[in-house]
Amino acid sequence: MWLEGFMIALQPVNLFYLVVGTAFGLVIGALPGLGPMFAVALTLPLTFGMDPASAIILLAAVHAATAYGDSFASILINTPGGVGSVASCWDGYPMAQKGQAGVAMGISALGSFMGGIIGWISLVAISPLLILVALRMGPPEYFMVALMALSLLALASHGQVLKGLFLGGIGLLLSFIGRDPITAEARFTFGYLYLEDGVPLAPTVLGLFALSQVLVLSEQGGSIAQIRTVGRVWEGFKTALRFPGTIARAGIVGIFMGILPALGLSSANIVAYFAEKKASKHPEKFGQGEPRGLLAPEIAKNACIVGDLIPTFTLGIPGSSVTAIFLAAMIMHGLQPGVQFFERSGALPYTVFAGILLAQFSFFLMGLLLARHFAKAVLIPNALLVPLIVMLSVVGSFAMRGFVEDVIVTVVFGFLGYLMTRYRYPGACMVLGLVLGDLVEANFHRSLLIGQGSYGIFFSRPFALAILLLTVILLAWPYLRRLFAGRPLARE
Amino acid sequence: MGGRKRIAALEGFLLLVLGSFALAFFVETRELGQTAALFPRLVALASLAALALALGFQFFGAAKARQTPAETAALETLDVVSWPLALAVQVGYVALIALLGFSLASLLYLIGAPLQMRYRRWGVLIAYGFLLTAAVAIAFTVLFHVRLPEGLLWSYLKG
Repeated sequence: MWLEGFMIALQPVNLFYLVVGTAFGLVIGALPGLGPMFAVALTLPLTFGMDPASAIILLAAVHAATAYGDSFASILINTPGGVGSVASCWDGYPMAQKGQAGVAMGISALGSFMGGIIGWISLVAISPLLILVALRMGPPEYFMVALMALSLLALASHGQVLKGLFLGGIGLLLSFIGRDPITAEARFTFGYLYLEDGVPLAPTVLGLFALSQVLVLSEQGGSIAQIRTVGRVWEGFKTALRFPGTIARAGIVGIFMGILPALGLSSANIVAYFAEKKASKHPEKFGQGEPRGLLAPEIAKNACIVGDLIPTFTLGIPGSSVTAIFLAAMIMHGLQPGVQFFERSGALPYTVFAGILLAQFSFFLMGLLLARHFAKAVLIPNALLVPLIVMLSVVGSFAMRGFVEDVIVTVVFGFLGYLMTRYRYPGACMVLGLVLGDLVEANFHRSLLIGQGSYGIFFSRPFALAILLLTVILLAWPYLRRLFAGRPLARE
Repeated sequence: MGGRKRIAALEGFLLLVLGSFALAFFVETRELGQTAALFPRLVALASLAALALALGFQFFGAAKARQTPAETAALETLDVVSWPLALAVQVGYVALIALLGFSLASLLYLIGAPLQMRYRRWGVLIAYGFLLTAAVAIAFTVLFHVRLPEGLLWSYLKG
């Protein structure tokens, strides 16, 4: 079956879709704010009339390449190409500033590729075991995992824990605007019809990370790279291979986050970054161009993307909003996700798996060809780069829904994001709160229903309690460590 | 000293906006049903508590660390274009899109904004403006089937 699957996936027509999907994904990914969701959603209508295997292969190629391409903007202009690349900015951009953009692109390419391969192995080999773990998690556990993700991010914010928690709370509040997920009651719209659909994620992210960066670059002048060199992509490969522990840790984080429904791409890269920082003997180097700070989120992101597909294919439960489109594509092409997909589709599942593996090779090879050229973007004068970022942000913000109000949201959050950058407030916490808001609130209410209105439900289930205790310990650890060391609290 | 006051005022403004936002949510929950209000109320309260604690630590815990490295860096940077002017240009660009439509506004912006940042290579600017505007407009309208804003002026001229 595997051989047959690979033979079908390697047919010229499927290879053509693989190359086209990869090129398209790289271009979309490189545009600030336009991530896998945008690219896969745009591609879906193009799959009408294709056979199911070709359709899934095309979508898989677009998905993988967009996720990889997202890192270009993160590394080169400190603007996440999508929510999955937020953490790639934190050390990728400082590397670019130090004249190592090419090295960073090399780390990103190989890291993404290895992440994809790790994710693929988990998809075909260990998915049944991991699904058993995910199936044992109920609403209280999901609630606690989401809270842990928010807390971890605040903790990773360069000593701004309380401000990070505050911004995470503001992000959650932003996510409450619109319809209540339980009662469907309109909330916090303050009389504006536009707000009934909620605060749009993409325009908010574009504002916080792209337009805010424009204000910073305008003040700086010159070009992004303070050194007129970009380094060599191959050096990035060698650097990445020096850290097998990082590869293993980030791979595990990516797979696990991918398997948890709805808690995937946006969190995986951030949690992996934090885990790597925690594991490092020199955490103070993170945020200043530490290669492991880039390698970990890149691996986790792509492992997560493929891991996302595990519950989609095996249970029919999408691992993320992007894989929900995969699910739609499967149904559209007459495929029944779940056990039936494996039992009644002949070689098709193996063709799809082979296609997903080939997609990893495809974006890796194409990325290799383009990485050094993209890396030279850091040498472009800011006077030319700034208007380009503004134009792409505005058009990207508008393109999703066609609302001018979305552009206004981008500009407003651009100003707030600039102030946050200037005073070192961790804006990423706000984005994570906004992303996780619905999930957190829905699982909070479901937990209370299960517990018949008692908050004891969060403390009576061992797994939920363990996650809560871990979160509290992690949050308190920096303070406890200073107390044990006999040093006063410098800040916060 | 003037610069230091300006920076403190800006950070204060940011906290005022975000704090007011959390407070407004807390007040608004009184208008909602119990289920819809419960979790937002908890989050609003927790956010305000985190803000109060953060401010408490900042003012009483470590007065010596008030001027952060970011503030220092901001003071040392050479303002090629100050942020208020850069923000005003962005807002102007959005307003221009509403008035003239995406393509014309983008062309003017792509040529005008570099000039504002003292970029004077006219040949590069003209090619940059026309090529990028055309590439983005074609990519989004033809490939992505996005209907870009036409602008009030164009709509008026079309009748």
